[in-house]
Amino acid sequence: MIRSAARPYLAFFAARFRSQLQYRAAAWAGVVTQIFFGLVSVMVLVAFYRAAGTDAPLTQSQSVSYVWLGQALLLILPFRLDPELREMIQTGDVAYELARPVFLPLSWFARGVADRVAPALLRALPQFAFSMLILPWIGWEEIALVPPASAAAFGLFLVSAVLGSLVAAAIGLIAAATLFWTIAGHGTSILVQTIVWVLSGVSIPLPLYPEWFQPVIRALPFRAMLDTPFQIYLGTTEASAVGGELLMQLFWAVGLFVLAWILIGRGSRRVVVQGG
Amino acid sequence: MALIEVDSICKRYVRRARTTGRGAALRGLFVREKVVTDALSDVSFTIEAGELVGYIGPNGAGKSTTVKLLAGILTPDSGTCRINGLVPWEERREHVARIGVVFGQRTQLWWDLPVIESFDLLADIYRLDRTHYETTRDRLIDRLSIGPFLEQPVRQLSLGQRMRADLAASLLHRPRILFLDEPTIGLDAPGKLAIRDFVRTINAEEGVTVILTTHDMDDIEALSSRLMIINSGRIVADGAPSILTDELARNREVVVDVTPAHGGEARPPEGTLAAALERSRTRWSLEGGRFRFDVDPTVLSVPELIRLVGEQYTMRDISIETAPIEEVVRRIYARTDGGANAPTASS
Ligand SMILES: Nc1ncnc2c1ncn2[C@@H]1O[C@H](COP(=O)(O)OP(=O)(O)OP(=O)(O)O)[C@@H](O)[C@H]1O
Ligand SMILES: [Mg+2]
Repeated sequence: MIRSAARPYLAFFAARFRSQLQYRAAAWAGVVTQIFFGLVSVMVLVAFYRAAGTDAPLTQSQSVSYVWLGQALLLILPFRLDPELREMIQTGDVAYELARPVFLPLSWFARGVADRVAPALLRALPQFAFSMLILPWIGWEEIALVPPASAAAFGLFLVSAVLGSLVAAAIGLIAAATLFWTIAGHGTSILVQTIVWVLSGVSIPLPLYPEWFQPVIRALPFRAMLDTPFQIYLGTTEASAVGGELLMQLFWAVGLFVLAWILIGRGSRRVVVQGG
Repeated sequence: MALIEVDSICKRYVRRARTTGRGAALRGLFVREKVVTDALSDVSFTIEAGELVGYIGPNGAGKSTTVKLLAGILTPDSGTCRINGLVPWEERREHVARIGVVFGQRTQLWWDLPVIESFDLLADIYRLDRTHYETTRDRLIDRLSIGPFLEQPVRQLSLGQRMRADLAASLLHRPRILFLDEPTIGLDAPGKLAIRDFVRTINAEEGVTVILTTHDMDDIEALSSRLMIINSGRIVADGAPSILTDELARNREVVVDVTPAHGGEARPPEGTLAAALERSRTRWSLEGGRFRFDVDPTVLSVPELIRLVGEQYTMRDISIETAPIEEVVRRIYARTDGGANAPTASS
């Protein structure tokens, strides 16, 4: 019963996942770029730690690991509006999507999740290999990715990363839905990029932001994409708090999806009534 | 109850647009004028199960708008519509699961997926039983000769291949109703023939009800047992093509080559022939021994005309032609061109 209800959406996910896996060449190019960016950020961090001493909320190797994890899972983040959705919404062709017996927000969501999970998976393995194995092997332990706090922590990290992809897909969907009202969509793109860059932890690990800013970070959904799984990996989230953190991610994923659903409903109704 | 019942549907598009003309650039900064198009005005019709209806009209007449309404992807401003007892735009998901629709101008398939994977994905979307699906799919692949490009991504297909794949895709879930909006657009002659043959077959053999829009008169001639003609958002004719022809273009063109009885130039008609032509107001011409008569058979029958010509001339050859459907359609368009749905601007 549930399987039958979920069937179209699982199929959307699978189809999109498979077509994303075709872009292996692009993935390798991405890996090289991200390793380069990772090295630069890590150097900056190390310099910062040398200067600032050791009373930071993360140890140096935790911070460095945080950065490597960010580079490995970078593509989970909703940096880019899905160009096909953008085209469909802007031309009004979205109406044609309604000629299929599916719940549109959920099929787009499934597609968005696949768009994040597949490329991230493709890049994560070589990146882990580089930052966790190759760096120590050539003697650069200081800037290497530390192994997960425990086997359990690693399992929970994977669960949390998947939940993070759901949150990211929902945010991406909301950003796309704003195109029903704005014309060009550049504004939305830039706004989303900026917020995500600053508040997801991918540029600077979130625990390193000043104390007074932490409540803001905790009140917003952006840390649920990368920061939550990373802190579980590093063990900086207490074992007893992990359950709550995962629930929080689930809450954001569902809540943001519902918001996207409402926006898409409103927006597509406009198109359906006015003919785009 | 008929399968499809459409009652007094009106659809108006309101678009905000920049204005043109003097001072428009300046005014455009402050006011966005409303452009109103009445795409459908009071459109009603019913269609019974098993019909094959050709829906034609000039560009911008409202054909695609009608198809979108019937497919549940557009909401009208007023009027009602029931298909299978469902209101398309209110019970959209139930409705679209029971119909097939092809918009010739765009594909419903996925650009980067091979055709076969698009089909599989549709099987999941429509939650089709695996074995039923495979039987239907294989039959469609066979009938539409899709086999050779089954593994190619849709983006690599030629237009004709893509259209056939789209047609197959619209029928995987075995709908009893099929809407086709310009399914032959841009296709070469064999491509059109393949589509026509196929549409005729599923209508005749499987009883699928088909509504098809087109600008191609050969499509109409080959397919439709019923023609609905829309112009400027109003249905202006509805009936069997032969009835429309009889009503609107019943005149026959009769061409007779004659040899003058005494050699030399043929002289103009005289006596009974001249009187009959006069009485029936038949237009005629005579050039180089060839008569052309444009005769209304209800006033002057063709055999009578021939007999009268035979009395005065020696006939060498005769041909009689009915006005082609194209001519009928041209006349209907011309007669009904009210421009009622031409956009009107107001601020
Ligand atoms: N989304 C829209 N916004 C504003 N006006 C529209 C919209 N869609 C269609 N129209 C207008 O409505 C009228 C009917 O359009 P429609 O697409 O139904 O015509 P059609 O009969 O399919 O024409 P064609 O043969 O060119 O495909 C046209 O005047 C068109 O310009
Ligand atoms: Mg059209």
